[in-house]
Amino acid sequence: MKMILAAALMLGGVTAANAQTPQPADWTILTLTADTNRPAAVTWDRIGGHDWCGILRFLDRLTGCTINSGKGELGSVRTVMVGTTPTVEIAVARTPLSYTYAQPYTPIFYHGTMSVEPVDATHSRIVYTLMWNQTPVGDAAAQTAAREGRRKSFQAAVDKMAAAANAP
Amino acid sequence: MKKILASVVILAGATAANAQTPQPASWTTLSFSAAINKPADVAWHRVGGDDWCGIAKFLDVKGCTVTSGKGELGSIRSIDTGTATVLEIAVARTAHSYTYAQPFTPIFYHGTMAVEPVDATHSRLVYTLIWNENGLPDAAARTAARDGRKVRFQAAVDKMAAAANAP
Repeated sequence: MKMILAAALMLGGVTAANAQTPQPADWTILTLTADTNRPAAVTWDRIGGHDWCGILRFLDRLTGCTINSGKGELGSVRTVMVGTTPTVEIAVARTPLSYTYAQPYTPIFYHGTMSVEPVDATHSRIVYTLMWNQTPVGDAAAQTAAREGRRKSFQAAVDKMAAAANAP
Repeated sequence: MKKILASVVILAGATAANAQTPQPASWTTLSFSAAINKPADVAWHRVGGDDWCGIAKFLDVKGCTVTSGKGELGSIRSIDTGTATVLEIAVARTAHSYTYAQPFTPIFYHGTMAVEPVDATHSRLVYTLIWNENGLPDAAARTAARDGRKVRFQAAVDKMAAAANAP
């Protein structure tokens, strides 16, 4: 039984001591930005930086967001709906003008960061980064579709955030 | 064979579609901070924020090797803890912070080093850790991991603060 367990776990790409995203990993990164004509603190508030489900107002691919715990501080948990698929996200980092979330129960080790960088006293820049392991996504076509789909929808979200930040 | 494969993989707490940290998770966090009498830019540089293996100067690890990058998103480093070698990847970066994660351990471990400006001449060093305790085998191991990190990272933050506050 021991041998079967070991062999099966290897086949599944996981071992008891190594139950994370598949190796070798193929990391991919997206960086989306937009400039705003508001101070960083104002931009951060207007784009939902203080609202743990605020992303729902900007990211069209989401059909829902439920707060499971917290208000966006480290360890806060939310469930986002992409179509009819629920995905748990946890806040793994927080600074005054940024938060980073991760998906602990998907195999792609997906991380996103929303941040605002001050440019000067009256201008700032929204920076949204995404990073994940493409290896478990499927073939090249599926990987490209995932990447291009996210590029399009997150750039649209960032543009929408900038419009909200720049509004009179 | 298919049935055996499915059942043993489920026993291990992972399926093909769900190959991450164990559920239900038991998240634990640690937060350390120190006041710095230097501007954020100076403090960030002095605590090793511009050096992807700078942590080795402050945390009691045996070694750190840069595998790729310089600390930007996607950079990879290898930490020698003395008992194991652990791969870490930069999953977030701002001007005065970086967040790293361990993609190939079962505890979904993340750490963030950040410097927050207080005023033009003062700043605050903030170091946070978060992981899933359910990736560890029992209560004793969980307590040991938490208490061990509390002591080691507090010492590191104190050492960083001393470096930042030095004349």
